[in-house]
Amino acid sequence: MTTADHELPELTFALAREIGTFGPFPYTIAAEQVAEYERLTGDANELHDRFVPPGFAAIFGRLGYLRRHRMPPGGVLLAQDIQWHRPASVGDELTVGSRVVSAVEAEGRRKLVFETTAADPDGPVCTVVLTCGWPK
Amino acid sequence: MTGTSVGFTMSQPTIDGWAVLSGDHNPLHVSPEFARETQFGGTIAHGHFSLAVMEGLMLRLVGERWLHGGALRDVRFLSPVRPGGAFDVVAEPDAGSAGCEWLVEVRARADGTVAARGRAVLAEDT
Repeated sequence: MTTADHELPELTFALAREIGTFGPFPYTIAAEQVAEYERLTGDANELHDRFVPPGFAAIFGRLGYLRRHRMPPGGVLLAQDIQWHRPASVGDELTVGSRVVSAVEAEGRRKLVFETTAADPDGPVCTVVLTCGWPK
Repeated sequence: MTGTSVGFTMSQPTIDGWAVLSGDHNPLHVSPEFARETQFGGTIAHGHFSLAVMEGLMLRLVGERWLHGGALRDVRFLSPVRPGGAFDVVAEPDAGSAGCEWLVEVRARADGTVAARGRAVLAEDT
């Protein structure tokens, strides 16, 4: 996941509303990524040997709608919900996709709500809902 | 079940590393020059980082059961997590929730300012 962010097109408010549904795409969390996650957060847990750290939902929740775009500078994360349904195993291929569930523009302010779902072949493992202030 | 906490110190290398891991290279996080001109006056950590450590604390507190129906609800980002700051992630049981709900916060260790706050909920049938 080392995409050169500046090379991606901006996801403007209008474009997000037009696209509506993002993905789905395959997504695998490797043991090396888990090790880097633990190093950065300081959150080492023996359960991470088997299961994807639940904090990865914060990463794929955003990636679901920004895999091929970048957020315009000035965008801010306002609120977020994360619901784990079942554990995801390290190394398993998940399917991640997002959709715009709300796009509100009023008094010069724009707010987008995205719902991202990660699933394995047996069904959804995690649902993430993000509310973002959108600059343009 | 009583509350518990973990701590972390934020740094610019940690923010930069999180940008690589997450793919979020927003200049507000990784460009001091850009961030200096914003309302924050400098770089701040990704909100997702706070979410991640809140999830990590709940896994530590509840165990594997957290992955079977555990939810963080209505997490709000109230003040920035800046490089150089030390923070505590705290989960305290909600007295009225029969042990299945917690208030989870990321607090600045220096003055207790809340950087992020949400509710952690564990479905009762898990």
